[in-house]
Amino acid sequence: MLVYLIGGTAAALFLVGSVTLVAAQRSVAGMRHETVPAIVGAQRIHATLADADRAEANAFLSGAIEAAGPHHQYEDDIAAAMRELEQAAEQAAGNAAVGRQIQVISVQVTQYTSLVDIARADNQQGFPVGAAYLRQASQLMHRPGDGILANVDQLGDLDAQDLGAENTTLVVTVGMLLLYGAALLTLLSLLVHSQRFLRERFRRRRNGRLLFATAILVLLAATIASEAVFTAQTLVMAEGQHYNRLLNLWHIRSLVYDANGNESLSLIARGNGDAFDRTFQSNTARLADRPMTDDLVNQAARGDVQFQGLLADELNASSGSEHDKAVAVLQAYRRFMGVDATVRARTQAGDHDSASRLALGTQPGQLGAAFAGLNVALGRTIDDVQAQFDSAVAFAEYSLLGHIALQLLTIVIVLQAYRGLKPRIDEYRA
Amino acid sequence: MRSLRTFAALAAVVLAATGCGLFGTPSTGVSSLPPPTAAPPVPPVAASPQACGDPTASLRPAGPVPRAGDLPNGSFVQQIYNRGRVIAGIAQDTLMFGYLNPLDNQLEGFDIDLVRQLSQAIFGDDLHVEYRVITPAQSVQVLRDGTVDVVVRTLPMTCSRWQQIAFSTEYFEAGQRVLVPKSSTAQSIADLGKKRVCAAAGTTALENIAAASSKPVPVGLTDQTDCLVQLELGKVDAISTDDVILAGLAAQDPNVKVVGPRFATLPYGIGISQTHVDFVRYVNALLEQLRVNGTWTTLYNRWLSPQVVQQLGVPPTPPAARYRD
Repeated sequence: MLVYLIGGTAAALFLVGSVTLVAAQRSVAGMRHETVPAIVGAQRIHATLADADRAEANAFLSGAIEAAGPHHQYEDDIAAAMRELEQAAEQAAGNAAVGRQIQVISVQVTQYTSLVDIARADNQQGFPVGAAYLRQASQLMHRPGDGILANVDQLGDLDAQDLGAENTTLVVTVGMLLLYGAALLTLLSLLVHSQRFLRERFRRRRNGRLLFATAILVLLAATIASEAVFTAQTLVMAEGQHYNRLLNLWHIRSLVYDANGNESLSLIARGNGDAFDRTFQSNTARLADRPMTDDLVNQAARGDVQFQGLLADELNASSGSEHDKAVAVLQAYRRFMGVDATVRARTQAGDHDSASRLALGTQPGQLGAAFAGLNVALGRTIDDVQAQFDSAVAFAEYSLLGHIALQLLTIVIVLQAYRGLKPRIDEYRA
Repeated sequence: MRSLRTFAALAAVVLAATGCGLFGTPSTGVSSLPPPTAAPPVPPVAASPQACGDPTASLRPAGPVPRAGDLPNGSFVQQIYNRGRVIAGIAQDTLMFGYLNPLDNQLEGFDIDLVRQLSQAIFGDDLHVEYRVITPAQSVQVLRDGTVDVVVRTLPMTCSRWQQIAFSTEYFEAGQRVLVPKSSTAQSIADLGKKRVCAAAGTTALENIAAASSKPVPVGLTDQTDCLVQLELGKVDAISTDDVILAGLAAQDPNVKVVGPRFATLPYGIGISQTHVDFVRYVNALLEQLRVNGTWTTLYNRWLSPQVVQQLGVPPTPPAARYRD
């Protein structure tokens, strides 16, 4: 009877443990390989398309004989965004809602590039209607609700629903761990009871094999408990910090791209770009809620962040060398806004040509260079945080895989218990 | 002319965005304007409900234009001189009158040259200008709030505007007509009942569309070029505004044509704040000088091609100045 009870309980322990750990591992693997890459991919598509619009506005601002750099950047961005959309479509093969959303975006991007092509063709022929086509294209990109970027954000929201489902699975696995613990305690009780029973019935001081089985069980319990705590901590860190920072940083990047694009569109409008200026102010206010000064930057470098906004969130969430990188981003932003102020002052003074040259210039002290510096600083930070997220989740995933393998120890426990009890059973029958 | 790629791209946009086909067959060459037809009597200015007498009449000059730098003490023109630049509200999307030429990133056109003449008169050269691009809807406001000194932007003189700003004497007479796709059967505004007809928001032309007896549906957009984009995308059926502006739009798209007679006259004046009466008289003196010394004709010939001149039927002579005192 004891043998059957031990065998049955061990089987339950194996089953519950394996199912729980496999479910957790699959959720973590889903986060690592599909969901989070899809969400971050949507953010990347958003930023890439925003950059395409920014780059083309800069190309347009440079005139009919447009600067080659910005237009090549536009073409690279569009190609990269289309590749990302194709990959997203492949990954979302089983998700009809995501597939439909990607199709909507792809059609809109095609419309957008067509409008830009017409704008360029008109511009190169000296036709002012080209500027109207560019405005139309940019509006299609940025229109709230049903514009391209709004639809990309909705794609990210759909992907985030999958992340929510995976998080729910992980919460359920915590509940299943309680069941696992109950089975484990039952098995432990049975092993202890068997040891006591044998001592009393057969006057044996100690059954070595039962003791070994008990030790393995205790070891398994301790390992699973520590694994649960470790995985939970790792995922909380990965999701609560790295993931949120990653989204925050991509959001910052998109806002910077939009801000730069709106500045160029405002300059193209030559004094009639109030709407673009308002959007610029709105974008930068989300990055930092007040004008960035050297004092604010120095205070932030010392850990005293005296402003609010997405840049402040990144500074507050980072520490050590990461904090240094966040400060580097802030310094680059300060330089960008400093040159922006000069561009606006020249525009206000009616010196439009000089303002445009400063906005497009790529020499130190010019807006193009300041933007590039900010973009590079953001890119470095994003790469770092992405690497941290990837390594944390990968570690959790591999750790869970290892513990699934450890469930095989329950077979060892059953075998050891059987071999410990078998001689006494034979003795009893004889 | 537009490349095949442009047309293909346009087709993609139109088909994808609206489900409509392209209108007409792409052709090369500027869309020709039909010669003016026998038109019914043209109302002076259709959208001027308030009575103001003759809206083309302005204030009589105090005398000839003073020499550059030798300006009357205390006058507004002296304030401009002391500031170092004249601030002008202009268009940058109106071919022939005020537009940014992408080929050299320079503002050009009849109106732009008028502003340069003003700078020449005040400062002795045409370089002391700050251009502020404005939409038609902003024309009155930027004068009332002092953002600009003058608005030189194909601005029709109407009684309703006279109540808010002052005008120079008339420097160009345009008329309102209709631009449609070449495939359209519409011959005039009378054929556009219940059709979507576009003009820039805040313009006299848009008011005239709304007042047309055929009851078209007026669509107001920020700039005239926005109307052309929407026409090319098939989202509006026609554009109706100043014929010289329509000629400029037609020059940018071989698939459209200007049709019908003028159904309203649109006399252009330079907009000036009502608080600067002396400046109105100064500008009128300058315009009179430009009429007399042949500069007006030179500008007309420079910016309006012989083809457009013939088709518009407007003689290359400046409108006669009319004064109200």
